[in-house]
Amino acid sequence: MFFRLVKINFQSLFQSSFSKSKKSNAGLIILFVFVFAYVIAAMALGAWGQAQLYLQNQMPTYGLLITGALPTTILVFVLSFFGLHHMLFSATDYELLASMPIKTSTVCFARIFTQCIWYYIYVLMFYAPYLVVYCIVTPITFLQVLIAIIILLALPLLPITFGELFALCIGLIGSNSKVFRVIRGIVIALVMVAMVLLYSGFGQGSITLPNIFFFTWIVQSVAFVSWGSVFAFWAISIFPFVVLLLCISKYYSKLYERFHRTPKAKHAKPVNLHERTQFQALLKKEWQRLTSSAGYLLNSCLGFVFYICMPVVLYFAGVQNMGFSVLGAFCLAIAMLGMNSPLAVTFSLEGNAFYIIKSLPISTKTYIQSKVALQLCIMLPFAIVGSFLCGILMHFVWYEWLLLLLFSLGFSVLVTGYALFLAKRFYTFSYTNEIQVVKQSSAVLYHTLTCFAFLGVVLGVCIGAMYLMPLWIPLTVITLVTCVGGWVLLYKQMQVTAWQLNEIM
Amino acid sequence: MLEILNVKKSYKKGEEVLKGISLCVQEGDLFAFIGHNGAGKSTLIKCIAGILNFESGQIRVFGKDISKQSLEAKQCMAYVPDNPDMYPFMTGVDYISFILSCYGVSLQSVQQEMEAMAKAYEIYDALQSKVKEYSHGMRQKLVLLTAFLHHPKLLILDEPFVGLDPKAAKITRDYMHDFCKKGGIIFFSTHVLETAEKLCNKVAIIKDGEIISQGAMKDIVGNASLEDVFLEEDE
Repeated sequence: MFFRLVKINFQSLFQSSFSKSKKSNAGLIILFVFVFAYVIAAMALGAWGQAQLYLQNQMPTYGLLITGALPTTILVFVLSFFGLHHMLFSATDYELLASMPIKTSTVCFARIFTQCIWYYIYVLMFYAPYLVVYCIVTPITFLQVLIAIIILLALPLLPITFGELFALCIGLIGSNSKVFRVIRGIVIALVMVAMVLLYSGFGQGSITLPNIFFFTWIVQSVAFVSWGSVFAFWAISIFPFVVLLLCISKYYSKLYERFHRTPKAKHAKPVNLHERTQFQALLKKEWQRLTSSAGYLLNSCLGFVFYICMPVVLYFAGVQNMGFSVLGAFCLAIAMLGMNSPLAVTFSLEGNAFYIIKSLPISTKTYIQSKVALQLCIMLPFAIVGSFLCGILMHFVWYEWLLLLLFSLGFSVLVTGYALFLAKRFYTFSYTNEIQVVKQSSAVLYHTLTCFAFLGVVLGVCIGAMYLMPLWIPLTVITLVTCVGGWVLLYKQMQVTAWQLNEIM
Repeated sequence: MLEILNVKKSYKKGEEVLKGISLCVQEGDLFAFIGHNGAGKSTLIKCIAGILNFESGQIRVFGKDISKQSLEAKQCMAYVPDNPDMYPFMTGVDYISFILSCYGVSLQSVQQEMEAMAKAYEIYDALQSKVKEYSHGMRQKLVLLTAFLHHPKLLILDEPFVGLDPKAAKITRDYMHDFCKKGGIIFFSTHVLETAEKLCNKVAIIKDGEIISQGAMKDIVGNASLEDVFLEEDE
């Protein structure tokens, strides 16, 4: 029964992605493989570069073990916080399973097991390349390889435990009142910022939690072959995990009921309708959708937030003293602002509820404008603040700051235009088929890959041009091209999308 | 007036779901549209509401072609789906505000009416809660309430009584009756034939995408019951 449930969990995870068409399924599998290969290659390349830097400066290469472990830990923590908690307490098939002669603890174990498989894939993608590079650049014995694998197996357990524990606590204290929701939001934001800042402490020899934790356990285990550290790392990883597993499985049904109990009716409060224009009503709808889902918010706006966080992180890491140029800031803007955007998946998120829009007297133009407006309203403030922080913290001169600001704004518009293109390319509302083929992951992937390709072009052009002319000249040209190209693309896309949506609206 | 002229629709090439449907519904008509599962009821209703496109034929809502003047046609109608997939992130009051704003209705003018209807449907206290917390019946009540609230001339209801408690069903029937008395048109599909027989003055029976019987309820039913007529026609 356990494995049957695991199979069902995987089917429910993939049902939205796979369709009946063998051709599109094959395409999707190729896409998944490509993404995994791409991430592994990128991580390996980064690890290799870092290893060369360590070797050149005669620094110990065991730093790689920490560098790889840190983002993996943070990632698994975040995924556990959102993904595992969502699967445990928001899965729609709980009531069906609970009514059957299956122990709720089995259902719980199966769900945790399914998610854990995912997290181990992430660990393989993000941490294994660092381990492999470490094994290549450092003379290492078979025993050390064995220890490294043992460490790798234990690595995600603690972040999974803390992620779920944290999500449980937040969920239990949270209620529907606005005050609690604000507190919950602040706590989540603080934890995320704290984790980013903790990460930034690495590399300066400062005493930070990750340095102490990972050095004590992982480095001692692998680099210095300390079996004591191996056992200790396993013990501190597995013990809380098992405790959490037992507690959640024992109280699973009670916790589920707690998260799904009907809120008390809000008496006495007068219900007032809010007067809005069509555009305002649509914009409010988009805003509510974005802020109602932590997953959507995280997936689509993380890059924007990082554009503000990264200058601070880099500042604490002392990068400004190492000659962080405006070109680096341009690359940062492309990587962060182009990471993802809410607009790329906006049409597919309408899903079955798209009938509401289609039955209302709303023009496609207004509908698209509201979606574009939301993206720009969110993105532009982050672009302004991020470029401002970069300029201040990295000691840019005024024209560099101005260039960065203009580029960030222009690039935001360019990204918006491209995201609209992707949204229209990967829409999914279908009224003839109950199982909708959700193409959101494809849209997000194309979005990220294209922006990274753009980053490569900008970097290549600037590095090439630096041999012939001062850096500000190619940067100015790129800024102008981005700004003009961005507006043209957005304008054209809005027209084309309106026309294409008219065909189905 | 709602005019449906020779409407054909197919989801797959060669598989027609609607095989040239023609109907005419006048002001004041309460029109029941009945048929077995998969006969094409919801498809036609979605075509009328402007949700689905159709290959040939014409649908005119008070003279406005739904294909060519869709905004004008949609402005004077409201649609209630069979399965109210709504925005789960909105509260009930947000949903009402959103829909009415889209129709350009002055919300102040309908505030009192909204309160009265919400209290009648017994969802007033739940209007501040998110739609995702609503039961199926509560969602249905909310969609019905919103549909009546912006005073359309044509109401298209796809199985409106599903999930409603007896009191809410009675209130809905009364609202429908009053709505048509004032000259509005209601075109609705249902499997509750007894209700359709009591409530409606006109009826059409659809089978495999074709209208097999239509006309005034009394003419179609005669001395038998609608259930008998339907079962006889369906065989």
